[in-house]
Amino acid sequence: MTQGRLGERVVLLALLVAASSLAFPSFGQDAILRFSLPMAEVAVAVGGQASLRLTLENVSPYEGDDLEVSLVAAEGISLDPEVLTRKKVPPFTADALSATLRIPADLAPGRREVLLEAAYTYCIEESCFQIMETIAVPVDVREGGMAGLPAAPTSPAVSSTSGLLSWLPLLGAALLVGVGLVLWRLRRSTAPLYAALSLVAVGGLALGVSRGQHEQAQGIASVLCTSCVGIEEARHDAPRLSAGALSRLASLDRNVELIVFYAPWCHSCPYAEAMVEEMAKATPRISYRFVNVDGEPELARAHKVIAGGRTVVPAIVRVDMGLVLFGVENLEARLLRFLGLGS
Amino acid sequence: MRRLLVARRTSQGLGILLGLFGFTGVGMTHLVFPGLHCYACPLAVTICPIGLLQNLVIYGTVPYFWLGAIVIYGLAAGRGFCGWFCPFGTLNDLLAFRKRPIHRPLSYAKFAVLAGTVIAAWALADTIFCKLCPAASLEASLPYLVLGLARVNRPFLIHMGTLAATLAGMLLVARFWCRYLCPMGGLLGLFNRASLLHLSLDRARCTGCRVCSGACPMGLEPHEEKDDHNCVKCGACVDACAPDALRLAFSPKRRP
Repeated sequence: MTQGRLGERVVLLALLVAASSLAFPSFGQDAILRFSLPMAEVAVAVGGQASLRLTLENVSPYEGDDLEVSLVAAEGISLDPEVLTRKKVPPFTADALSATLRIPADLAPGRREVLLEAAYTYCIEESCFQIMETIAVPVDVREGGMAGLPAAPTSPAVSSTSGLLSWLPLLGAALLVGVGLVLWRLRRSTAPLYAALSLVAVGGLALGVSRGQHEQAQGIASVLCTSCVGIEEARHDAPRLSAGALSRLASLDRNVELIVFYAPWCHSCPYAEAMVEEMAKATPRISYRFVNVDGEPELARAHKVIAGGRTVVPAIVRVDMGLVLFGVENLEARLLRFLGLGS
Repeated sequence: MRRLLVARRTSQGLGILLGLFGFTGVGMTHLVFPGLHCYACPLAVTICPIGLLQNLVIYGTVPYFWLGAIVIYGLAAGRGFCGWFCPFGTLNDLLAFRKRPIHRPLSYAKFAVLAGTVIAAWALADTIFCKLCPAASLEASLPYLVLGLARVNRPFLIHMGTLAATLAGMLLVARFWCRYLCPMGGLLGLFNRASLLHLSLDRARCTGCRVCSGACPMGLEPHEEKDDHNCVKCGACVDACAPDALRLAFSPKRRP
């Protein structure tokens, strides 16, 4: 065997060893759920109540089990229900937990931080881990009480440890291709480059599928967020009902149940939810609930939250008449017409 | 002499068919499309690689599945997908009347578009490219206007503006979008010199007549710069080459 051929084989062996880094385990004892608040803060009047929505995302290929979220420090502020639970949080899914924060009448106005504690478990083969995490919720207790300001959806922060480990296989892939390119240039040998690219392609697909990324990709492509693809502008402001809208809502003479279908990554969904909440505050005739289309696609299909073959969010369904309203553009007027209160 | 043209048109037809296969009701699949095709298109059954990349950046997901798909496409044909399969590339091809020489420094703008798309998604947590993408204008904004979901508002007018500008560019310069702006073209172009599908030149037969240059919709000199990152491997040069010096080959045997 010539020295050149031996060197080539040694390099190919090194490439194979580097490729094994693609299977490097990236999780273990790290938090797998990310929590975020769609509102910058919760604003609520003394003696009043405000809805609290906590979005959660499982960023791992492992299932989160027995999630419980409860208050740990709140200066008399109570949570209804007292404990928010999810039996299972499947890999690479997002969900939201909703509750009501109640403020005692004797609490002094001012900004506070309510602490929630989240506890859950997850297992990797035989090893199981219990994770406890504290989530701070800024609460502005005011004399008058106002709706909180919806914040722009933010990219969930990856915890530093799991983030670095997640990138390791990618660094291995870059190393593989880099070595292949160098050999191609220096030795005019294409075999190492093709071997490296083939390993990266197969390894990438295998690792991606093992992490459920193919499902994540399909989920992203199959649900259409109206503001994400530029069908309408995203709204991040707090909806304020006009005086005319308030008087029309007061004249609503029948009970109406609304369902707001949303996706956690949808930019305009918090605005649609806040608008429905504001209208429900104006009249006891409106009842509503929020449904995550990622978590309940069958319910979305049953309510025909579909346009042009795509599940579309935000979508507001009027249950008694089976009507669907998409998007947030000119929402106050369209929602009033939707409720039979507009011209 | 137009032996590859029929095959290319057939392949481009299949690309459009795959892109719009939603009319069969099959629904969204897990397949990443090997070109620029909007997943918001009402009939789409495949995932736009650029749209997906932005979402993965926003989510903070290390994109292994996406990377695997892109490397497979790149290794197989590189920008051959632009020339043979991409529906928006096909539109560029059909409007390729003015085959001007390529402006080489400007051709690197597509890498800037690709980098800008990723940086904007990371910095703004938003799919900014999708809101400007002319393929989305054609395949999503206009159909949803017809379906009644989209309205004539500012985002719609921005989409129509980018589509009009791109169409004008295509009419003035053949494959304008593919040459200068397509981020997916930039991505696949990185693999062009290594892809199995490649141009090969028999120097003994080449007379240097430059007929291939006149035929190239990307404005290249195929006999001098084969497999350049701008080459979409459409084979127009092969069809034009009378001495059969150029050949479109599918094999790993090549020289850097």
